[in-house]
Amino acid sequence: MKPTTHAAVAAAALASLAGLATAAAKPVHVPLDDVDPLDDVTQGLVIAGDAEAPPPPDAVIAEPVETAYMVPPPQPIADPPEPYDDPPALPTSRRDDYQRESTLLFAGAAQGWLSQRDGLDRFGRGASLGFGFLQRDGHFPSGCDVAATMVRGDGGAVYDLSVRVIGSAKIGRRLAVPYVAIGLVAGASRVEGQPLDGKLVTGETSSWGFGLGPTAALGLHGFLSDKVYWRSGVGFLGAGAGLVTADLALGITMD
Amino acid sequence: MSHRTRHVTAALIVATAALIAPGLARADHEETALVVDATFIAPETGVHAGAAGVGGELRFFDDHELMTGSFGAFAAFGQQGTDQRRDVLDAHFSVGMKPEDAARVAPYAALGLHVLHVTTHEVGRQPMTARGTTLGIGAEVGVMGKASRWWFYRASVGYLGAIVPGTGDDLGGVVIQFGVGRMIDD
Repeated sequence: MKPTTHAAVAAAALASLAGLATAAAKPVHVPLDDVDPLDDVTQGLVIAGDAEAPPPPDAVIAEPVETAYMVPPPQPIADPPEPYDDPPALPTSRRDDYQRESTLLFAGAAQGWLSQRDGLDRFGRGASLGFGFLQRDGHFPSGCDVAATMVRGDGGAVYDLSVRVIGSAKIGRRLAVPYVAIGLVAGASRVEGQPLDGKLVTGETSSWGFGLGPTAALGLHGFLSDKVYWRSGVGFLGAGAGLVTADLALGITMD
Repeated sequence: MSHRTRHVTAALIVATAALIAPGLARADHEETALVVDATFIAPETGVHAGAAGVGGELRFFDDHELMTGSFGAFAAFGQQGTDQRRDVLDAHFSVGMKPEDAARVAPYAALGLHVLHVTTHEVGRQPMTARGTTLGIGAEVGVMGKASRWWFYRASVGYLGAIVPGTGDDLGGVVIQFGVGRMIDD
């Protein structure tokens, strides 16, 4: 490259720099109508470019206040506040509107059969009374109950007290879901007759006693309303005589 | 053991329980009533003429609690009238349920485990006596509450299910009780 060419390039470069510097030194004109006094960026631009920039908000000079011995001006008596209205309840599904736990009192009727070699023999009828606790939340809620079951008939008599743990399908406030219960039972029983050739022969003899054994039941239960509970199932009372039972009970929630 | 001796023994057991009970209650710091019950075992037609007696119990009763319970005992002596007379001595523990926040009138239901000594007297052509100890199951419903700050009342109807030792009969026990008591740990 020739020296003249070098000089031309240098001159062009200097001219470019001078143009840029001139452009940067030009003030920026912002119309006052467009100035937002709360906008720091805009204020900065205004302060840099115009003389009549509004003062920043924190620069307001407070007027001197004579506080010493000054009687405060009378204040208007405020109206009493409006009575507070409870906020409207959030819309909830009726399906979710139930007690999370229920303490139950129930009573019902029961039918008993005695297991024999060739099937079940009808034993008698009776009643049951009990109470329990049932968790209603969750997919597999659980609970427990204590119940007295008394069955009398031609076959004898059974007076049992059972304590059971209950497992249920998701119940919430459903009308009918399956449940299973298992536990211990203690009770007094009397069976008429005596076993002969694998079959109970009724006659003048009978056997009786007090025993302890297992108990289990399977059935359906649910809530007819917020307060009314029902259950029905078949089960086994394994104290003494050992009865197969079917029962239907109604109950109420106590809390 | 003569009739009189057995009756005196039963009365002493009940009286002893009544004397010991207040101390037990204070130890537990529970709201407790000491109740004296008149007890009737209803007659069963053609079997026995029923029995009547007296009992006492320690009743745990809290106005604000759902649960209630009791330790108690009674002695009921068979009445004349049929060929069979039955004396029942009972000691029991029961757990029940009542509405919360019910002090004056609280309906309740309870289940109990009973230890029973039953004596059966046959007074017909072949007089004999059978006796023994067994366990029974009780279920009862009733009403109870505080008549005042210190006075307590109770009335109940229940069924006492048990097999009578020695005879194998059903006890057939519809048990009716009326009780008055005093709060001893309010």
